[in-house]
Amino acid sequence: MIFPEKQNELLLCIGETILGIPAENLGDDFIQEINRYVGLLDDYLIKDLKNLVTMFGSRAMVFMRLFKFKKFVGLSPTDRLRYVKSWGTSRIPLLRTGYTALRSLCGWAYYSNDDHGEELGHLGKTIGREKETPTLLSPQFYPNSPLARGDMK
Amino acid sequence: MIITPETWDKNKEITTDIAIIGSGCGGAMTAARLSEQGYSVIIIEEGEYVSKDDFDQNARNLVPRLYRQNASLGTDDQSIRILQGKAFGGSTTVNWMTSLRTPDWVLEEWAERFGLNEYLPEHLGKHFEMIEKRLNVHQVPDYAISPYNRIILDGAKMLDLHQKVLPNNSKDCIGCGSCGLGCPYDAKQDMRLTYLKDALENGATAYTSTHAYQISPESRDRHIVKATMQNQTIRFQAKRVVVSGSAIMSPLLLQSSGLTKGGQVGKNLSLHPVTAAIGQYDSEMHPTYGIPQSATAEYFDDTGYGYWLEAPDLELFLAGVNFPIIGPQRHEELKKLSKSAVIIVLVRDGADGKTDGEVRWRRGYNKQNGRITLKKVPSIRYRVSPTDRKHLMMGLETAIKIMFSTGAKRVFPFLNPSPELTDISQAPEVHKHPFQPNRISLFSAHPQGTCRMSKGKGVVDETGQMKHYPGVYVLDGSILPTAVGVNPMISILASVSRAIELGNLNL
Ligand SMILES: Cc1cc2nc3c(=O)[nH]c(=O)nc-3n(C[C@H](O)[C@H](O)[C@H](O)COP(=O)(O)OP(=O)(O)OC[C@H]3O[C@@H](n4cnc5c(N)ncnc54)[C@H](O)[C@@H]3O)c2cc1C
Ligand code: SF4
Repeated sequence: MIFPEKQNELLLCIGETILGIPAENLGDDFIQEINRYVGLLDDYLIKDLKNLVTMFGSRAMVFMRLFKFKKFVGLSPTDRLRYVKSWGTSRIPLLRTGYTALRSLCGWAYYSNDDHGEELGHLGKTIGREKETPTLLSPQFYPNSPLARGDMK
Repeated sequence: MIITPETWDKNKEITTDIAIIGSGCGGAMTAARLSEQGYSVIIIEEGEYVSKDDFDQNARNLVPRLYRQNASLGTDDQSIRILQGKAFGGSTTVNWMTSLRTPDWVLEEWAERFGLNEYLPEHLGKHFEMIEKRLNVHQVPDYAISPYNRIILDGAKMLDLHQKVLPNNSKDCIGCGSCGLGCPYDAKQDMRLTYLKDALENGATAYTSTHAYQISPESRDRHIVKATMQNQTIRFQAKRVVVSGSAIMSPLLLQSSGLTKGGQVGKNLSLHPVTAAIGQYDSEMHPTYGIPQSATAEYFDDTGYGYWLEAPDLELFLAGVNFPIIGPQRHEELKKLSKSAVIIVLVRDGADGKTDGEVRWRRGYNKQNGRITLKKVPSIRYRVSPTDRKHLMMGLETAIKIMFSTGAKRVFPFLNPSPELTDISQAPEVHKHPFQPNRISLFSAHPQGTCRMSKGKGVVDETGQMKHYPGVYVLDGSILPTAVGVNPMISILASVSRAIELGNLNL
């Protein structure tokens, strides 16, 4: 694992705040995917992301942004969101970079899981299901398609 | 012949006429052209050898295999994410197929500013024709235009903007929407199925999963390329070396090989910076399916710079990563994805005379990301210039207007924070948004220009040969002297084909 287990709660908390999905629904898969994905990056990027997560969760950073002497996980949901947003719109370019990196990482970790596609109305893979999904082979979705009518291959 | 780590015979000393680094547009075209003349050609490709059976439409499996740095490559401050293919076929294996010729006015600009009088429309015409034939380039038929592309045509007509249906390079495409993860139906006529296929049939050999890390010119007719496969070094000895690693990777390889005389390698990076907006409709759009980018609306001012709009297919992960809002509302909004459409705004950058972008190795303190490294690491720096910025925001405004004109109920521009727009009259508000790094989501899939071809100050001459290193050529997107203002695949192929026609690598 790239991130120590004791940061799991922090990672889930960041994911919950950014994505708007309860931590219990993010689950182990979210943590595992973050670790797997980051682990595939170059060493210097792994180090950057580890530093970012640690800094983001720290009391010192929360104090600097919200004047509350608490860690990120100890904040109320409203303050957590305020804190994340304050990174995104900060005048300090580095914090905005951190915001973008965390949003991308969380977005990837949850939505790269095909099982979550259904929640978004995605109808699944087309392979082997070409006529049931919105492809040119499906008369339901493309009534004028010669492929759907079988006029072509 | 294709060599993979599994089929490699452990031969570590290989001699060839031509060693080509990279198998994207530039590498594939060069390999096909030179192998058909009977030269021995070796292609060295860092990415995996992949075929349709690998393309299982699973992002977790494919993104790390097909994209450089897991698709997280970006400028140092992460304000522009840069998508780059890393696989057999290069970026063409994952690209969205739009196949457009370089506009005449761009070629005329090259002649005027860079002395490239051999690249005028009358010279490139036959190359375009030949490429379009080989790649089966054709206009997307009307019945195949997806709902989320149709809105560009309809909306632009209502707003009286120039719009058109786009051509692409496919054969029997079923519009599955997975172009970005490789085509599971072998419908996309990418380099693997066209010019690389030709080269292999002519006897070329491709070393895949093989990373070239050093080029050492010993004389005009003798160069050594060192590469690694499975942590073992292979030495390729070649009469000519062709660097075709892309506009991001080619300058890095040249720099780490010390081939930087002239001081231009890695400079002049153009990106065609992209932003986007997502609109929610009452009807199904299915943006995760369909043929990508089958329509465009465009605006170019009389200097030839401006923007154009397209609608790519939206892989689920791209939607999840890039949806512009955060917080409790985010997932709820994403649940409406099947009734959403995304329009991207692409800008021909360089309107202020040059671009402010550079690719280079860097060590020490980097103030753009706060990183301190003792080891050299790759660095991409880019700033959007004032006029390019204006074009981006004009394009964003137009994209929003198109969405509302075609029935969108709500639109979220990719701004941070993203305002939730509910009426067309709000579209101009995007101009008030602060244009700072990471306050607007920016992307690029079109890096160009970092080894500029020029008769004046540049890296290569009109034949693609490096000015200070005889026998070393650069033939890929990095030689384009300016951003081309259309999706660049066909421009790269045609420029490379023309460079070979002009010089034939001096063989
Ligand atoms: C997602 C996406 C969508 C796109 N959509 C379109 C589109 O619709 N239309 C269009 O015209 N263009 C599109 N493009 C852009 C187009 O595909 C590229 O401009 C074009 O492929 C660039 O060609 P190239 O030869 O410069 O480099 P690439 O095609 O990127 O190929 C470079 C290859 O070199 C390899 N390489 C790099 N360094 C080394 C090394 N040191 N050793 C060994 N191998 C190395 C890389 O792994 C890579 O495979 C898209 C690109 C992307 C990423
Ligand atoms: S949309 Fe067409 S070309 Fe693209 S992956 Fe699907 S079938 Fe292949």
